[in-house]
Amino acid sequence: MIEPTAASGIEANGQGSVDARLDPAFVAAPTVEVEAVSKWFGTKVAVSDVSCSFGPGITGVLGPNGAGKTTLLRMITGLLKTSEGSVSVFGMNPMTENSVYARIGLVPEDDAAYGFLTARQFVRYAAELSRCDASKTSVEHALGKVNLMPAADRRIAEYSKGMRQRAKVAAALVNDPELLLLDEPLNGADPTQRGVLISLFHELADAGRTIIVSSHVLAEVERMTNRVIAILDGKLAAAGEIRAIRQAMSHIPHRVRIEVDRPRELAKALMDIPAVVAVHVRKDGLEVETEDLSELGSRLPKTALGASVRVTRFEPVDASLESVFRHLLKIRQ
Amino acid sequence: MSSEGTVYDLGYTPYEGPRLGRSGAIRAIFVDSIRRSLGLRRKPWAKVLPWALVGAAIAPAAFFVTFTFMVSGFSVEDAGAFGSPDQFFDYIGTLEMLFVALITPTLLVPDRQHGVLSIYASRPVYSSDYLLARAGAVLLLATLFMLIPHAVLFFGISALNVGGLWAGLKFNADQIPEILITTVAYVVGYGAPAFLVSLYAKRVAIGTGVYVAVMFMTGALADAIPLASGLLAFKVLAPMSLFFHPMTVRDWLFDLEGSGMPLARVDLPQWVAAISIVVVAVVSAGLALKRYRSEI
Repeated sequence: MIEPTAASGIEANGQGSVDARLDPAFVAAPTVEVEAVSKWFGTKVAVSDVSCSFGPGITGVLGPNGAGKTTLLRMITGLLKTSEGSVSVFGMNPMTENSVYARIGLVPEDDAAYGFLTARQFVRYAAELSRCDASKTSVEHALGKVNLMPAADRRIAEYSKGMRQRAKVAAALVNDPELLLLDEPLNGADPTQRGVLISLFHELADAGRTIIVSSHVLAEVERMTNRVIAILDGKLAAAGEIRAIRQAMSHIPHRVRIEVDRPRELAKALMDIPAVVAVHVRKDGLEVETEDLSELGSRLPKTALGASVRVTRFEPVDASLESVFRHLLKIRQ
Repeated sequence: MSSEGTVYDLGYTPYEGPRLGRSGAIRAIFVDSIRRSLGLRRKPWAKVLPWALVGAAIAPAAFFVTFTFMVSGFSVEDAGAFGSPDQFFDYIGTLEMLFVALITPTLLVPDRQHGVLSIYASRPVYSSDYLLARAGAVLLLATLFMLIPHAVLFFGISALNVGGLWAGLKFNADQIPEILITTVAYVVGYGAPAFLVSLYAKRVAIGTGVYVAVMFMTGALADAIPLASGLLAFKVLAPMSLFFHPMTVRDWLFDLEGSGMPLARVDLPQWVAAISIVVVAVVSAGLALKRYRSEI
């Protein structure tokens, strides 16, 4: 089992007491480093003493609305000055070293696109602003990647929300950024287009790009990545792989669904396992709460054999990102 | 028909073209500004006002030339009032102000209003690049707005000269420096306050309205100064008559008395108008940089 501090980073962050190499909030080869960053607007603290880093691959930044995700992303891109702490992108300060933007692509949450331009004109303009040669090929390639070529010559004002979102993604991709920051990138996209965009992000990540995705739609993040940074009330609540974070919440019993032919017999037998906290008999099997998932897993076959029952399914039901996040919210409360 | 099939690689291909310099980004914003100001690549209604004003500025020049031709044919020795560029500034000066009132807020306000500044902020573009390109577009368009009608008038009247076009051009050439400098005074004198208002306006229409109101009100206020007044307060007000400053500069350059101008009424020299224009321009530039430093 992974130690809580090493797995979740809950203890480490903001305290500075744990070696950064052990803290899952940090990566081995970072392209983006956030060090003890805080941001306040008047008396409102939006981000409080957050330290983490991002490297090649996709990292999800999670949090409910108003948690501080967008503020953190805006500080990483240098759109917002930190009140305290520092941000480094490719070893440079984005607030002072403008050249770093040639290597960044940003898809902001707001509707940052000119409605009176066509997608083709908008992507071309984005290329020119990024100091790239806005050739037909590169513009069409970016539009093609987000499936917008058929509508490339329509004005963005006539687009649906999902299409506008894809136009912003194309504009962010046209300069071949090494770092891509996506703030709620799938907003408004239909299921097919979500699939297309998620595949594209995976493709870019596989090609060594650093991708930071901010979202409050947990299922989307889960489809994109296994590494997350969770922010609650502006503070780093957890970091690392989803399963490891869940494991680190040892004080919250794990819930497991077991499909079995004779539930009551198995329920009785399971109560002899010390790690089992509670057993609920359901229509189609059992729901077991346990403090130690691995112990339950290792002892279940023998217990089932002893009780002469047939187990057909063993499935943790709260290891999903949504469950993990719900637990994090409970911890906060 | 081939029986072989091919599956093409649709994988991500990185951009491998040249990386252009800072000037490329500035040029892109500048071109965008020109297009947006004139409603190019936009729906027809976006083109109506700017082009109507351009037409309204050129039409009097064309009319004067046509009228002079009808009266004198190709035997003009001195075109008189119709051929006087200093008077022509009176015709197109107010149109220039309206043109600037129309295009300047259009370039600055929507980017803030619709949160589009992040397009620039997330790219290798400095706030000064953005402002330089936007201001440059306003200055160029406002300059052309004044110079094209003047050119129509200048070449038209010269072509009607009794000695032919070349003789006409030589005859009128001594006015060119005054025309150019007065044009600069109009462009900066009207453009800088428009830029200043647009830095803070929350809607294009509000920006346009506030600017026009400020220009006319400062002009009207200074115009209301009693002729005989020697009060210090009026001496302070007169240099704020933004609407009249370009005209005062014109009077100064063309050696006109300009007794009706607010500065003349309080016995201030005409060059004070030029100083006022420069001060407003410098203040506008400073505030613009301050305003956008945190945005881009």
